[in-house]
Amino acid sequence: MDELKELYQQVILDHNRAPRNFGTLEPHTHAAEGDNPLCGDHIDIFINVKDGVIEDIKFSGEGCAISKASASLMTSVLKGKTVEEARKMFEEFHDLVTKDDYLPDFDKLGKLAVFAGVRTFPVRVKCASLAWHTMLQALKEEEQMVSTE
Amino acid sequence: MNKKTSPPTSASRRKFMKSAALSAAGIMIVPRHVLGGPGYTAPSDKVNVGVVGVGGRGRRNVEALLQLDEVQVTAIADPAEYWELYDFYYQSEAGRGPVKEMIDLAHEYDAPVLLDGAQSVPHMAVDVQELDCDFFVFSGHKVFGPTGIGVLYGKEALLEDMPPYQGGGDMILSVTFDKTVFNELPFKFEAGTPNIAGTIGLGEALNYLSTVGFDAIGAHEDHLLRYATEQLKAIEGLRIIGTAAKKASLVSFDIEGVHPHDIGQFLDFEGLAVRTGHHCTQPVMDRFEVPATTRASFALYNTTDEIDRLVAGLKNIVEIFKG
Repeated sequence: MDELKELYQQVILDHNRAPRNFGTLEPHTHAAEGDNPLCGDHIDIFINVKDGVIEDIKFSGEGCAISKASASLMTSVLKGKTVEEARKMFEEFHDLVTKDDYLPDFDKLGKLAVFAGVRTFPVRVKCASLAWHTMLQALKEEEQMVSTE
Repeated sequence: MNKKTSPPTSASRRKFMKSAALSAAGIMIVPRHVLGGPGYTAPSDKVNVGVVGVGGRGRRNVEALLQLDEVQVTAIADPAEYWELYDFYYQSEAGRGPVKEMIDLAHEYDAPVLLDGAQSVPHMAVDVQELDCDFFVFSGHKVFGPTGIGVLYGKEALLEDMPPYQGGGDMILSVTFDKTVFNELPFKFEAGTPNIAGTIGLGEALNYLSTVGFDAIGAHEDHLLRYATEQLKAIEGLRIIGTAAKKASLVSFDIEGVHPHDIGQFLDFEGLAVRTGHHCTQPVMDRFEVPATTRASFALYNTTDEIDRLVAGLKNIVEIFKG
């Protein structure tokens, strides 16, 4: 049960209940659609970038607590960051949820550290990373469909 | 197809599929290779449609589809009518949906019927001759037998008409430069070294089921279904999805504010295996306006004690997610 509590931390449950930055953003400079076809999770990410800085970011869609909380926390963390910083955060987050021997840099990760429990549940890695992959795709291109499969 | 009518264009096919999909939730999405078109092989000039009953509309869909020259109904599965929970009383009997009725209807239009029995065979006695289906199939692992093996029943005359689909040892009677004579049934369809261990295992699994008896299995599963339905209804925010009058022994549900994958993760830690997701039926999820459901299926080996544990686990999840 300890692993389960580690996965479903209060912060995650809270963001699942009341997701931050939930909704659409019109107009926006960047957007992408992400899907996890196996479990049916779906997310839309909208971003407004001005002079290389993420001025606003929102998400909408449906998914489990892990995927919803991940999108909620990601948008909270990325708002105000530069595009370059967002890309670096993606790498950091990806290592956090996938690498067994990764030592999390809590200063860099901040609240995102609550996802450290994900790596012990390999099937949930996709849930936690869907928002991040979609965000990265949105920054890369205009309108695109992302799949974690 | 009927030579008097003009051949269907891809546009009219698309139009048909679109209107059919809009007219009812009970239309199976047909894989691209079945529909045909550029780069794909169609098995015939007709659109092959499988109909799955959702709500009470399954029968009407079939009737409407059979009127169309361009349509061939190739599969019908588990149609069932809606019912209210308070009317709930289920008696074990063969043919849970109006399957027999639909087979007879299909035969009126010379449409052969293949019945997919993968879900019914572990739970009830099936008499293929009484149903008069042309084909019946089921999987070994669904009857607690080995994986990678299944059963195809077909009417002899139809099987005689069908060419072998695979070449190999035992499917040939004689070969000369003049002609090839295929072996008799069933060897014609059993090319090469068969899955011997799987066959023996499947035979034993079916013997076991017969020993337990379908009356006993049906009565036990009915009891579990009634018990689970009553217990689950009492959980706050839980909605049971799929309430057919003679439904199989399983309960699909959603709980307000908790995604099925989270439910599954918690129950897994309780040692309870449920299926979560869209169950390969995305249109049904759309029909009920849910992203996914949790499904607890019962079989002859399940107990009411396990249902109690399921209910306790769900109540705990509701508490945790409510915060």
